[in-house]
Amino acid sequence: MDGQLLGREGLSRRSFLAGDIGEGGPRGASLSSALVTPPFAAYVLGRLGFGPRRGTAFSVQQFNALGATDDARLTAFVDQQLSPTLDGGGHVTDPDVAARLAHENFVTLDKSFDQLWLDHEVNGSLSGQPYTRDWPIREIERAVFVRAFYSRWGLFEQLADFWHNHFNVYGYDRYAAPTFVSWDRDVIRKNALGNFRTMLQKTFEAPAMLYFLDNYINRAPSFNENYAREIIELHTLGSINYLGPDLQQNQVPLIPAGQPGAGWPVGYVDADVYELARSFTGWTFYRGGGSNPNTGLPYLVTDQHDIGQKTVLGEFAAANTPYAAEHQRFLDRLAYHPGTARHIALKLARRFLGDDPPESVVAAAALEFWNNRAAPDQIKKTLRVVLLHDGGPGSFRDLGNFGNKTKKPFEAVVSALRAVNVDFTVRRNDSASDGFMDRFRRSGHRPFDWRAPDGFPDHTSYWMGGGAYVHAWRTVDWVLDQNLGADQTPLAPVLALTLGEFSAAPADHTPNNLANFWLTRAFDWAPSGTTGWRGTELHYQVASFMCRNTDTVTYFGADVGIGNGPAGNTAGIGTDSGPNYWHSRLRGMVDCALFSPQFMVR
Amino acid sequence: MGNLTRRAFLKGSTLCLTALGGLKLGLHANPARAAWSGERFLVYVYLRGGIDGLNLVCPIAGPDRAPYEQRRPNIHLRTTGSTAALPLGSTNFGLNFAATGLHELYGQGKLAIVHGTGFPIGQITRSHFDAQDYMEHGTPGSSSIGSGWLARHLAGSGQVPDGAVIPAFSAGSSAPASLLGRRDAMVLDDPNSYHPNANNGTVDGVPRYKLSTLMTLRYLYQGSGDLDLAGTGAIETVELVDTLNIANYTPSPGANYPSSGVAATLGNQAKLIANIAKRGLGLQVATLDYGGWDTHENQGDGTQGDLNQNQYANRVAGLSQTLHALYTDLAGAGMAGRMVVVVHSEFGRRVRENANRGTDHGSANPMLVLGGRVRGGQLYGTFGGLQDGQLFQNEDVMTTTDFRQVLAEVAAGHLGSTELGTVFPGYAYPGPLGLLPGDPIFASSFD
Repeated sequence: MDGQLLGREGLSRRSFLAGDIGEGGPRGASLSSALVTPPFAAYVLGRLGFGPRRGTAFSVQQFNALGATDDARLTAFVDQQLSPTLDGGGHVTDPDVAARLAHENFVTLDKSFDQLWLDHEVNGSLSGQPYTRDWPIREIERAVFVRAFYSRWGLFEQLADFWHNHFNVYGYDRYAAPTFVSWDRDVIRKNALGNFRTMLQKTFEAPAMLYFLDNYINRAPSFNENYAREIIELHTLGSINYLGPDLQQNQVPLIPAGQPGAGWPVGYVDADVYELARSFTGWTFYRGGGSNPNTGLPYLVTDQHDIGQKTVLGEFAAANTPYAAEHQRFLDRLAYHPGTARHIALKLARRFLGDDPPESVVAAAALEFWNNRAAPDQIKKTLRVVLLHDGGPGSFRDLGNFGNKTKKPFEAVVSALRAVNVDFTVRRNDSASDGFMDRFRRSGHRPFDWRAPDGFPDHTSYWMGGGAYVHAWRTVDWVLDQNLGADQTPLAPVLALTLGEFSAAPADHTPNNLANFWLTRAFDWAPSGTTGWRGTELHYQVASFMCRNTDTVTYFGADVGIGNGPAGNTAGIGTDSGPNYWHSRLRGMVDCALFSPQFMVR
Repeated sequence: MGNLTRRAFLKGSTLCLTALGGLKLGLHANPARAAWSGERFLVYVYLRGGIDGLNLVCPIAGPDRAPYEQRRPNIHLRTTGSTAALPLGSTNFGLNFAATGLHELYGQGKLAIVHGTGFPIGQITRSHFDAQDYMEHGTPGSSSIGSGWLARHLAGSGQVPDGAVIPAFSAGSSAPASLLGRRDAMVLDDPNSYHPNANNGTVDGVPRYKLSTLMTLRYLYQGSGDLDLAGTGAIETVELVDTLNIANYTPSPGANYPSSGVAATLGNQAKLIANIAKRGLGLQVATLDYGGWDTHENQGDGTQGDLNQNQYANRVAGLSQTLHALYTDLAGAGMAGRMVVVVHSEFGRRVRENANRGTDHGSANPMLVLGGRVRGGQLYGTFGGLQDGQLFQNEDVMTTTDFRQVLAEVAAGHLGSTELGTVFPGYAYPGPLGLLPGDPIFASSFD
């Protein structure tokens, strides 16, 4: 048992339930019976980021150049992705993204916390469209699309999304909105690969969090438990380590000697929540009023702070312990509890492996997290174990995982638009960007728009079908149809890619050839080196779309060149007049490839 | 079954993905069948965040009134003035002053209130997310069963009408956990612009490749996996929205759904449920979510009658208006007796108000049961009391009724379930509270 993490499993009332870490069918069960197993590279790129994008490091070709075997390539790729380039401040850099975000419609991204507070809180108004107070969140909710479309650090962007949801705050919340640039940059992204305890501390000092979970008005004696409860239940130990309201602290078993956390309570009870809430009384931030400064910086209102003795998860603080020392000791206990290691490891494994990840991977990652609890690259090391530990079936390297997750709407839309090489800087105050967000919002997955503190669901059943699919598809379809500006530049160069990469020869523009080209481009791979996607059901259906006229009963030959067909079909692929509307039909065909089960899973 | 029957239905309709010439969107006669005219259905409303049930239904007289005022010095509901609680008959309880619609329904004998519902003692949790999960799975202390209680009811009851096109409907962009496992639940947030390819201009008034896209998607999702079924369900929803012209709907006279404010979405989605229910397509269960009840701070003082200043009462007003409109809408169509609405939330809140005129997480809560057949105008269950020694762990209203008893009575007594053991495995159902008339046999028609 040495070196094993002992959580409260085996001890609580829920321990007999095998389903603690998953729901649904057997591990690795594919969600669709219509899938073709992809090459390892495509699977990895779909999981670790937002799908392949040709001509970048995040492509099947580049992945396959990283080594001689899949294992070697995976290791090299993970190590590459876990070491993104950084600027002097420790922030991840990416020239393609930086060039996009240099657009004049982004004005808040380089502001310091103090500047954000001054410009958008102190002087931010509830006028304009959007309100100037909301500019920071408005720019970030759009910048995340730009990063996901264009970043070479796809794994980092996935991880930033993971931590944003782990420490979820509603983006348009009163004090989140004006400070969101700093929340995203200084709290989440700066620490996304770093040290968990450090990140926890940053969240503890952020007005966005102190307001969202009501601690800014948590006062002795009748405290407000909201933040104290969620910092334990969601941010650190997790509800897997909740022993319920029926036990008192002195009834909780202790972790045995020889185990990480030996001598500490195995889990938490409501009394731990109340004790922590008492410790947090008076902890708020400056927001003006009276003679107070208006800076957004955290501070303690001493006469609202409960100075009595407290015990949280076995950590005792005597009466009159200075608040900063007390906070530090309790947050240390939360961050360093082995239950937290297990909670974080489990969540990471669910994100990257599947809803029901192998126990051996979770255990190995939890141990790595715990052993490195003081390391500046703790999360990076933990994630490396999550992705590279070989725990048998269901481990990340098991290609059998393919198809056990559906893409969430954000992933579905981003991966589709990467596949069509979209040229779209989603930004504030831009009609195309607003049109895009209006459509995407209805999928239920608008970034930072989850109102409860638990973050968007990660389990796949939530996102299958329904409005999640229809509105993700509608958003992609809309982008494919958009032409902007005086020269009517398409957002997604579907026609240009067809004519440029595939063939400009009208005789080659047969439905079968077009379907094959676009499937290969959408997935960045094909089942056969010689015949591509031909012969698959997917190819047949996508090509059939290209054959069908708008009336759905008149058919065009699957192997007839569109430029050389019967009378009325001579206009060619780039024109859009009746009866064939070839250009619309081409975009509709690409839609079908991007809406297919093969594309909607990871 | 839903998928097959829905497909058959769509094939029989004029939107059969064949010739455009014969296609006319949105003009269809209501295809209700005689056999479905008596169908009963449940609307399961979930209030996420844990509603403060004690300020929805509060003591206005009797021995609990003084401790109620004492433990809630600021936020307690008043008994006089413009914000006085609305008395529930001659009982010692009253409804929040903003719940005028609910009060009217109670007076009409259509609304029943069950005191003190929640998890059994020993399985209480004050975690939002665990509590919601366990309740919606129908299994206190666990969600490992992997399916929702409504999904199991639909699968096991045998009461989904033959040929039902929409046995399950979820208003929103994703279905809640109570329907987990029911892959053919129709999920719809809004019938407007609900289509994956409708932007290319039109041919003869129909978006250019709309039908062809749906046709291809149908073929692509014809597999047998969960995702194939879910995708097919989404595609069929798109087709049904057109075929049934869902966007074109006029509620019954007097059904005044909220169209602005905090309950605007709720109002629209409740209206959508009425819209679907009236189509006569075999609806058995519908779900509706209304969040924002995690009122840890400034939920509103008992004297604040201005709803703009009283966030809790404002939200209650939206709920009340919505339920009143939904009932009125169905009643206007002679269908009130077919509907039962159950209003549920993951837990109640602490009896004592906190430092911020809000309330922290508690346990027991009232459940609301509304419908034409409901024996309303009465309080059910036992209120555990607010006096010293009566509270659970000295802080919460005591749980006296397992939430499953209420749901089981509705499943059996209204929806005709004969398989409560499947719907709530391991639960020893003690029998009905009497919310519904003794009518264990599923009748074929009402009204």
